[in-house]
Amino acid sequence: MHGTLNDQSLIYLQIARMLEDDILRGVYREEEQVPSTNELSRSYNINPATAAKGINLLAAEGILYKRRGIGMFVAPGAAEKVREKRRAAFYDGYVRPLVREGASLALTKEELLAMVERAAEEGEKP
Amino acid sequence: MGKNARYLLAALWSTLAVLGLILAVLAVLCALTGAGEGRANLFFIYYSMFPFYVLLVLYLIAYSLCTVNLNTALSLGTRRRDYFLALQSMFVLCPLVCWGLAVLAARLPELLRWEMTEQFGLLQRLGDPAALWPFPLVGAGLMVLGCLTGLVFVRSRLWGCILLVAVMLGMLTGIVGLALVSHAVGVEGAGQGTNLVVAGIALAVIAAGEIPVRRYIMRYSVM
Amino acid sequence: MNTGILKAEGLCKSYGKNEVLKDLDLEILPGKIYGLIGRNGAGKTTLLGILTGQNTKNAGSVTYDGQEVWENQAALDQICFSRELQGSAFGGQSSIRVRDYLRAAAIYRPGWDEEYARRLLEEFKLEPKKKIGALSKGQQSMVTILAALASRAPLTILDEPVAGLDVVMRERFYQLLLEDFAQTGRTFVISTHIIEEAASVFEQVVILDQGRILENCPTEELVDQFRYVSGREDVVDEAVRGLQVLTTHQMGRHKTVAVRGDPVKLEVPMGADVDVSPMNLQNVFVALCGHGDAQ
Repeated sequence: MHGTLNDQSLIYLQIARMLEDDILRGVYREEEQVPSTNELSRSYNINPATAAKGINLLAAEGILYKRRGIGMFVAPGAAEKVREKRRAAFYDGYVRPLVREGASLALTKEELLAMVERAAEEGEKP
Repeated sequence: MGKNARYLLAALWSTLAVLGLILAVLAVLCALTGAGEGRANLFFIYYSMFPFYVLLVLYLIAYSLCTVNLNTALSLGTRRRDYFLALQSMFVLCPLVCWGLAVLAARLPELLRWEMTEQFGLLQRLGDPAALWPFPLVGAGLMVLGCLTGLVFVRSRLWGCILLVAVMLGMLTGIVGLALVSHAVGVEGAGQGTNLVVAGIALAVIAAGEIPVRRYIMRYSVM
Repeated sequence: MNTGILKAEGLCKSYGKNEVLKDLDLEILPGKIYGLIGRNGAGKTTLLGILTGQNTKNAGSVTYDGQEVWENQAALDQICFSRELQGSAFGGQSSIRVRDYLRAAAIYRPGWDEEYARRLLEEFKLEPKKKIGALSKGQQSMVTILAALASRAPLTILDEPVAGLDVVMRERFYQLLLEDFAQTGRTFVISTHIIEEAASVFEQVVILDQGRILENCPTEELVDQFRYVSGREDVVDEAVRGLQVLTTHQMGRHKTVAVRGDPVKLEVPMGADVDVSPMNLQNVFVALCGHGDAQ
């Protein structure tokens, strides 16, 4: 498979995630067509069924929709849906591991929160 | 079966063409080295042995047909029974074609007005198809043996070698035997008696050989 | 569009005392790319030969579209089995020339695409006049790939197609395979022991181990059932209670286990201090078929 895919998670999930990232970055805008399963299959040297699984996942979540005979398109409000989805997963995916790692480093809750604040401030600077 | 016939013909024609070429080359060599003057010559000996090359080639062709070609055809999805049938048609076609070449070889000295020497005796008899009519039967018999040798070889190198040696010895015995007979009884005397014996042996070989050939082919496993 | 299902039931094959296939059942459904993986000597080639009616079996049945495959021209026309070309002297293809082999393929394979064959011949830079025995292993593989693809057979089986190919050619092969599949949707079965590279190409994976089919399911579904769990031994043991442990590797108090379970159960946080990581197909295969050799 192509270099940007790895074996850290299932391929179809990576495909879905890449498409989501692209939607957030504005690579695909609302009502624009996303690559077909055959195009994805060719680019990443993966089975078209796997590519289709990733696309169907997003279609089931309302992020993409199908225009019969043409292909898959970005649904209106897709970017917001992606952000919502990721917000829901944020706690389990990022916060809990953060806290766990902090605990294994014997950081106190205050030290941890201080770090979070500092990072947030750095992020706000232009 | 049509596919198998096409394949086998494609695989065979060049070998048969080469045989014809060899005949032509030998004839030229003989002509150039004074066939007209009736001098005994190495090339004449080679030339007079032509029918035996033919028989040997038939044996080798058949060996290949039941090893490489069989394996290839089956690996490309043909049925064993269809291949076997096509093989049978080659057992008829090839000896007939080779018989034609042998008859040509026999007639050529006459046509080119070469001096007949004793060396050409046996060969000359071939020139009259009626005289040595068992020739294609012998050819077919050798083909059956060639096939059998090939099929046995892949199962057991030992038995394959044994069979190969046996056939070679058999051929030598046959040649020597025929030479002796024609010397003893004279070229005319040998006649139909010998022919019937030879034909009988050939048919027996064919009948006996086809049974294991068919069995081995119908159970053949591609390699 | 191909609808034939290739079905094997109760296949048994022994070579002398060596039982290679033991009461094997397998179903190949149309329209997918299958990967057949197994250790060297597991019997992949034997199995494929029997499935395609090219090799004899001791017991069992193989049907295509409900009809026995053995000596059945209708079935044989639909199935193309491209095996490694034998270089051996007796009965092997080493003495035939590339173009003769391809001409034979054109004669026998219905649906043979001469145009496609010519394009591939050019791309692979194969010399038609050369004898197969004189080709390198990689070039021989290219001939088998060419024959398989140009056959356009609804069920096309390739045995170790990438043997001897360098990584660039292997990638090209997977590309050609996917392109063909995208165009024709025909069924492919690829046997290989270079697993991880090919894993993303296989929709379904079939694992042959010790004469039987161990697994026959979608690649990602299979892989999702496995995880590595590692950390301190007592914590790991606690975390994997109730799950099937396949292999264990221990260095002092550091323990790594490969476990199998329901993907949902595996997502449940396993406790504070273990690393849980996914396994790829190659890891899964070694865990299932390594049988504890070399730990």
